[in-house]
Amino acid sequence: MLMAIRNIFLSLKNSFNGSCHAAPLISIRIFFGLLVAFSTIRFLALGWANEHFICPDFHFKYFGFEWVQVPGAFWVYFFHVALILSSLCVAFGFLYRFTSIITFLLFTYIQLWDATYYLNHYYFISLFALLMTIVPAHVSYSIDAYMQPALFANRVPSWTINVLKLQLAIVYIFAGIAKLNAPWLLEALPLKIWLPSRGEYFLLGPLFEQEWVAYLFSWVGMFYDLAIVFLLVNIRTRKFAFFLVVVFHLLTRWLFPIGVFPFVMILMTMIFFSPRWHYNWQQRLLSFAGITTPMHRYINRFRSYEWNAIVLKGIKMCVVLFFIFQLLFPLRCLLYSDSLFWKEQGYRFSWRVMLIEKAGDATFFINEKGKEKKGEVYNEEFLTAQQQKQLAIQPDFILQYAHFLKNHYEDKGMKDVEVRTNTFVTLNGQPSALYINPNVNLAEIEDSWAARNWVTSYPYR
Amino acid sequence: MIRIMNKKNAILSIAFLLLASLIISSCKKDKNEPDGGSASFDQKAMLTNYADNLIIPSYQAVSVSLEEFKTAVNTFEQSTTTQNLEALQQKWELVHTNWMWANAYNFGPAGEQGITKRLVEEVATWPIDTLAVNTKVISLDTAFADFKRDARGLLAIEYLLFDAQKTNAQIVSTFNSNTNRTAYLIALTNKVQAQIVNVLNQWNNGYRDAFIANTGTAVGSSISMMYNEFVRDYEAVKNFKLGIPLGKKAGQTGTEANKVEALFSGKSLTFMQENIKAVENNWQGKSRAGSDALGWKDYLESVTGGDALVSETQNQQANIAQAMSAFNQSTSLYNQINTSPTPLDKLYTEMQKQTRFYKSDMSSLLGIAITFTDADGD
Repeated sequence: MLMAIRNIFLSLKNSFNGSCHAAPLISIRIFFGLLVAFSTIRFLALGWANEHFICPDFHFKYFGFEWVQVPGAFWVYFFHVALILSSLCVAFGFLYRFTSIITFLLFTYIQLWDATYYLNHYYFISLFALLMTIVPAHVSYSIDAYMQPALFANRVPSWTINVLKLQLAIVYIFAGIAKLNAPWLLEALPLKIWLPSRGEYFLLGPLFEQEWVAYLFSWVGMFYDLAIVFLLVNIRTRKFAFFLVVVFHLLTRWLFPIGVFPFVMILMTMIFFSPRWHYNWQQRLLSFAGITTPMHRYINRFRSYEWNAIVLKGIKMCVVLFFIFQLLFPLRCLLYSDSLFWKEQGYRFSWRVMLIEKAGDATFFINEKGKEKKGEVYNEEFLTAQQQKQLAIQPDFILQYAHFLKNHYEDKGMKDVEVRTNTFVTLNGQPSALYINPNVNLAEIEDSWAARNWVTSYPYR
Repeated sequence: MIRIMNKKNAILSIAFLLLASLIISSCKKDKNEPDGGSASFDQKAMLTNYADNLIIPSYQAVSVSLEEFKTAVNTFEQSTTTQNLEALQQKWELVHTNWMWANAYNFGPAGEQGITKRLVEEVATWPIDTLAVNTKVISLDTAFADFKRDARGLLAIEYLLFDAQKTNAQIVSTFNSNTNRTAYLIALTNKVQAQIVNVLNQWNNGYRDAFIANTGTAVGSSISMMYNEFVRDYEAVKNFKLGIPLGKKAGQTGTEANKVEALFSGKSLTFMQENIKAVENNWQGKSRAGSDALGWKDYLESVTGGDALVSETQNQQANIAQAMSAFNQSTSLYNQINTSPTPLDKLYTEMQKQTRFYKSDMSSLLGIAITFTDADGD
């Protein structure tokens, strides 16, 4: 037993101190850069820059980042185009240290514009982009290495690859843990609600209408998330695991509107393949394309990437802190006693992916202090359909909107505006119930980490 | 050692996974049957019912009554008499009543296309900009090239035909003293007719089949488009036909009775009640003539949690019906708002309570996309 623990400890230590071939980093750099570029081009092509950022008069903010404002229309497009260019530079390894930082900053900055569009995979891309800024992914097959041969290396410290694996492990395992809840496992919710609406799908449609399929998918999904990293780490199960990754993510892509997320996961999990595997396909691709670059010549020379010792120490400290944060932050929900799915205290940034079906209807009423006359706010006047949908189910949005309404009507000449809401929410198909205390003047409440006593308690179970 | 364990673990976990799912799926069979989670619902049959028994007949009814209205307009043009005006007024009421049953389907051929807005905005915008209508009558501007939708459509026609301040004889004399007025009336009628007939023709020539074939609940599916219009129709009644005239909207300082739909004819109450009836039939999948087939209600009954929502919705429909029965049917909405708004307030409150059942609860249970353009979820 002790020996086993010691072995694990040693292999962990090895995985952070040793060195290995740079090939996996190179692959991931290229995939990541192209993915971010593709995702951003797709975003623009669908007209979302205009629809999400330019059209709405009001934007929901992340706690602590209320100061990040959506810039003017020109700058919205400018930052998107800049992101495309910088991510392409990352893919080609051009001015990598600089462009990888720019990619991280731009991507994150754009996410902060409006919390309506929060997606776990955008958060993942932000974190991954941050890690990409510190790993030496530009040491070969890159414009940088071509321009300055001194930079070239074909070996990198193992930890630079392992931090990326660790990041993926965190996503999957937390997503798996999140599925360990009674509605998901014992009632197949929300899949029991979602799948039947896919009854008209090609071939498998009739299956999706079967209740047992919802149970099957729930359990398989849970096991998949919990086990996939271990199956990928182990060389004997790796190929099978990657096959599972492809099938699982393509299936979810087919069933649900989840954008580029499946492709992000399929491509990024390739980091688990061995350096040799990456090296081989890179070589094959090059010879297939008939390219013999100067880089190609270097590749057989043995050279290791080196950092300045002090810088390296600093980076390692930051990496450790970064992961400690990531291990703790998703668990912050444990500090609150109320239902997580209902009050959403600690829901975001915690890898709860496609976990609940929640919808609501929020009606806001305003009145001047001491006056009886109440007015109903017609939300479509200020919010897009998507914003209205998110507003009704997230208490922090409800609060932000209440403050916005107070300011809006006070600007229009009303005095001491009070804002109250009749919000009803349905969670996992249960009859909708009152969500916010209708007697509370929301204009007086500030958002904080404190427990939200102005949100009702979960009325079921 | 570790490696062997891992391999074993992997095989074990996969075996357990398969076994667990088998056990769970087999022992769930006998439970939860009445909930009908596994009953499959025929979306195509539902869409066929909506197309053949609700949507197309409604457009047809509007189109037929518009044709009759046009004949009456021609008669009125030939002989501009009080008697012919009254015939015309009756025909207009018929058209607008029929429109209440057709105004909830603003997608496909009736959807927004480029600069053309949804059909309901094109043919039934109010309040009418009476000044603009009068200007257009004087200059006989019948090109309809601008975006002044509040100077045309069914309710601009109403403005020309009705005036509570005048007797019908006086109205006739305004037509006699200004032939432009008749000419503008004819132009308005032709415009509305062209728009309705265009939509009806598209439904009859291809769109019906495309509509039925476009199953699923994603953005752009027939179910999603029809559902979103259903909700908009309901909210239009609650907010625009009732809420704003009653002064319920935030920022309003009092009632604004002159913002009722169909202010000039004084028939707002009838139209509003007709619209509410149409909404409920829409929800049930029941034609105006009364034949009930697969509709939203039946779709809900086929999904998890649907039965509870159906009964809540029906309770609330009963409350709305009760609130409406308290009205004085012989007094116009305009006058009731100004003199005795209490029963109307009550109706508004009951309609507010219904909103969530139609809006969030229904789309959540049916998994319908409520955005009009695509968006990624997670």
